[in-house]
Amino acid sequence: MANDELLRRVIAQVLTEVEASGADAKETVTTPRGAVLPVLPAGTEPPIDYCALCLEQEQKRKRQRAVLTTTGRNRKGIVAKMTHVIAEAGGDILDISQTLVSDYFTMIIVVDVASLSTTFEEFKQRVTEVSSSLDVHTMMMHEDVMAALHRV
Amino acid sequence: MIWESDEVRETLRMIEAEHLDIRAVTMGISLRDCAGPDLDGTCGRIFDKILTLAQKLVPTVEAVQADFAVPITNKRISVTPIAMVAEASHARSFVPVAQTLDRAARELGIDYIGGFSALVEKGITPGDDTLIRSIPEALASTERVCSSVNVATTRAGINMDAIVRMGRVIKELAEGTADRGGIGCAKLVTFANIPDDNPFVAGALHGLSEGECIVNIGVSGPGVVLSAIRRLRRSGTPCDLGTIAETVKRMSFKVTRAGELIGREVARRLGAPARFGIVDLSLAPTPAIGDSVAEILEAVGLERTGAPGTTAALALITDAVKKGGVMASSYVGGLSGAFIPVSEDRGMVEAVRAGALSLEKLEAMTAVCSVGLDMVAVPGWVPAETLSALIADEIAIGVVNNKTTAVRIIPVPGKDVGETVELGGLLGTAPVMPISRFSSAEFVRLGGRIPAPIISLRN
Repeated sequence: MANDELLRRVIAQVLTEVEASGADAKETVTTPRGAVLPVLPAGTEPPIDYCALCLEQEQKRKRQRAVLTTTGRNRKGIVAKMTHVIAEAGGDILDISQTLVSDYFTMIIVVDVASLSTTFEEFKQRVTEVSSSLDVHTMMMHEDVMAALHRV
Repeated sequence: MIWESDEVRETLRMIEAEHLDIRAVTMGISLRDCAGPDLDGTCGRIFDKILTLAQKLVPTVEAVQADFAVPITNKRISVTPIAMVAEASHARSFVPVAQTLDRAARELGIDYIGGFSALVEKGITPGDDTLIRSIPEALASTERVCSSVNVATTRAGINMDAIVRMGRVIKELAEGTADRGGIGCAKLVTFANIPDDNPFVAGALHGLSEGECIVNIGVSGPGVVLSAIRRLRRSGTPCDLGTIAETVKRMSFKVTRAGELIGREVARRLGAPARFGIVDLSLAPTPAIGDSVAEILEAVGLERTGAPGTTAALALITDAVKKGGVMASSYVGGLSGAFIPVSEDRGMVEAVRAGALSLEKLEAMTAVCSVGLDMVAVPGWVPAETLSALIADEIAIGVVNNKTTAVRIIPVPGKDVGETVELGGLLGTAPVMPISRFSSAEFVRLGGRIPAPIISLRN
């Protein structure tokens, strides 16, 4: 299948890039999108089940992301305080965008919640507390909702 | 950005401003193994089984809601039609079973439990007979139990004897709950072609062909569809009815995907024996502003719901909802269409008050959407025979068109046309609608069965 061939080439490319970036090539490597894979001997082409493993891991990992949206009147320190809560809870910010429309603040953060040191509920609770202390509103949802609504 | 900010904003808008919610997560529980020769034993087994299987339902649904941020409005339970579960007891009344169901629902924090039901499309067994006789007292003496009786199918034809009895049961039930505006009738539905896996009350039951424990999802979203149509029309893009159908289809797809996601997640977290069943693609309105099917029809260009063109517009919307939803879910079931319950839909109530929407027009609308004459209040003086004849009309539409239709009608004791009855909560406010004063008594009294229509002979 053309897809298998394509997958093999993509993975080979990813592995090359990981190696070129000077990452430690011990037993496993972590791909830029978060899959942890056993290292292949140099010059080997990854077999199909290896590709499947990579995909499976990325899928698993993808399920561990949350989307936070903060809106409200602009004031100093919103980004600082919100990102602080995330860091404190052990979340990893994968993507962040922030804009102002006149005086209205909007921020979207995609957080990796796989490595949270607290439960998702506690994290959510903390985020809500900090938001209300800043007089802004934060909605936090599991990424799967976005995927269900917008991706076929 | 991993997610486009447009996508994030749209999701937020749908949930926060347009009432996108999962209307019902309904756990269907088979009670077939609870039957036995004495009713007390049966009740005990029913109570234990429901409590064991549904114990985790409410906390699980709440946890899923917290993770996904999509509100889940109702947690419900449906059970095997009680006429079959209790028949072996030969008891003279099944009211104790209804009270057991009520107690179980209260204990679990569930607002409605459906399945105090009988399937009598072709004939009435002694158990069915006892159940139908027990309905008025059962519903008047319980809070959360819902009842349904299937009186016809396309395959079996229409059981007029059962319909005659339902007319009387409805009258008796209205009298029995007269102090609360006849609210008992809001918990009783008379069906043609009842689905086995309907997650929406009052018509929910756990069909005989279903598994041990099933999670069915009722999605909603009139608000989302309404806003999408309004945005489309405001945007100034040239639009015809095809464009509107396309817009509804897209929104329906999104809403259903959310339902499917949540249903599967709830079933997964509940674990065996619970399994994901179906998503019901119905547009289910609530009394909230903007969450109305009538307003959708008005956004399509009708001055008022009920004006000529209403049936066509409703056909377009219902069809688009199905087409969008069917691709979004792997298993579609239940009623899947659009609900037009009068009291629960603010726009419908206003259309009735304005004199735009009559019972007859409503009946025509039910030919192209799901369910039927739903949450309709009529004067308390209406004779049982007229109610039976009205049911027969509605049921005939379902049987001949090979679809589900149903009647949930409230003859409000002591009230007449122009007055309203306050039912509270999601049930809303019902204006008492005019109904024909001409008698159907002689026709109804003939009884017997109306043979299955020719379209049933498909083999």
